[in-house]
Amino acid sequence: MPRPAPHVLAILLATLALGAAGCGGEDATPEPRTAPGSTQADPAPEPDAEDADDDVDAPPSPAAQATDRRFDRLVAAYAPVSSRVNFLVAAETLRADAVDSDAGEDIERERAGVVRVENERLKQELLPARTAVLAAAVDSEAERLVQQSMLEAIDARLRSTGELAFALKAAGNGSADTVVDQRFETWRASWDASLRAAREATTTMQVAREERGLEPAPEEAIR
Amino acid sequence: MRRRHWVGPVVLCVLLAIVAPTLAPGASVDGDAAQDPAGVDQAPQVEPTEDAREQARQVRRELRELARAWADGGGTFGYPFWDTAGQRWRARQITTAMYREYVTGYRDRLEAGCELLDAVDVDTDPAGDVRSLLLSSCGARVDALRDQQRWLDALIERNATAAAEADAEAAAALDERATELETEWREHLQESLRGTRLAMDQAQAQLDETGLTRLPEDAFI
Repeated sequence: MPRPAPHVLAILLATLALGAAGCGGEDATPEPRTAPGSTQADPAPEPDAEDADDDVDAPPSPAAQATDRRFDRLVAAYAPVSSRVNFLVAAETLRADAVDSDAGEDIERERAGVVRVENERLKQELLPARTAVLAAAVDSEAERLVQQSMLEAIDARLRSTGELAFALKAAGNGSADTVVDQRFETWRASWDASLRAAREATTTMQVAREERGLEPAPEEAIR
Repeated sequence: MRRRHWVGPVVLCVLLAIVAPTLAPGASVDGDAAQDPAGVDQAPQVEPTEDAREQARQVRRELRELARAWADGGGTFGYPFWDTAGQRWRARQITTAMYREYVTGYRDRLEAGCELLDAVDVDTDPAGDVRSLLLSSCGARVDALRDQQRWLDALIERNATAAAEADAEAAAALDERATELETEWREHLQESLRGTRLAMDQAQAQLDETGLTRLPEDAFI
């Protein structure tokens, strides 16, 4: 049998080599993690979530009930933070309204005093709550995400209490309006970050609860 | 001599087999197609057109209008005060009658607020979806506050009945009525709070997608 010419063989081998390189080169780009701030869904439903969907009337599985208890403990750990939020918001709303409506220095000073008190009360709740949230047992990815969001909310709120105190001090010393406004904007940014983290925690938790056939938690539990 | 003739092409092909992966589409230097940290092999980012940018800005304007309507309609001077009044009432720092005043005040603001929301013109689908959620939420919250007023009235009457040591049967009926009303207002309230959270989720996600500044997080509180 005559041997093929070397150059023909080279071409055949080169073709095979290129063909082999072309196979198995498909991208395997991993799924991006859900970006913070967007609507989050539980990334990996637990196996019992599928069981929960099969029979609407069946009680949640033991695993789901355990998740329920762990969520409840997380919410309970965060509760003192949630309860103080609107006291500060209401006080700051009245202070800002007094300034905007030129209510007079006495009223502005009085309302700023109420804001300081509420800010301090909130601050006192934050570190113990942070410790309690961090210590709470978590098992599933959803529980870890909720815990992480709660910690982010608390950390942002801790920053905000310092920034608010700084802003009130500037307002009280008669600093220039631009300085006062800038400090309140700084406080506002941290406060916003804390509210966003709280909202994300709520969304993650409610989606996870629904997937496991659990009753939703109160919507105002994580604020 | 024939072996030497074979060696050359074989060596050449072996070299090609080693180098060829780098020439194949979708490949990276280390041969791992899954890792592409520089993103050079992803589809090129398409710059949004001017129409798309204007559309995104229109969505944002409409969302801000909705936020303004919500704030004027009870978000600013209603919700936080109603919530703190509820906490004070549960802590027995204010009377039931006083708490009822806060509930009435918030309900009145919110009824006007629902009309304000309804009056906001939206032309874009994303803002339209958010507006639907907010209108539904607003209506549910008005229902919650109305039921809460009735619940507090039942409690006030129940307390008066107990104080007067009147008919035990009437007192029991009032207790039952109060329990029913409490269940109803709590359900309406949860429906409303869920609606505003979903509205916020959607609005912020839409703004993130188009690279525009988010709304303040308490816009639909």
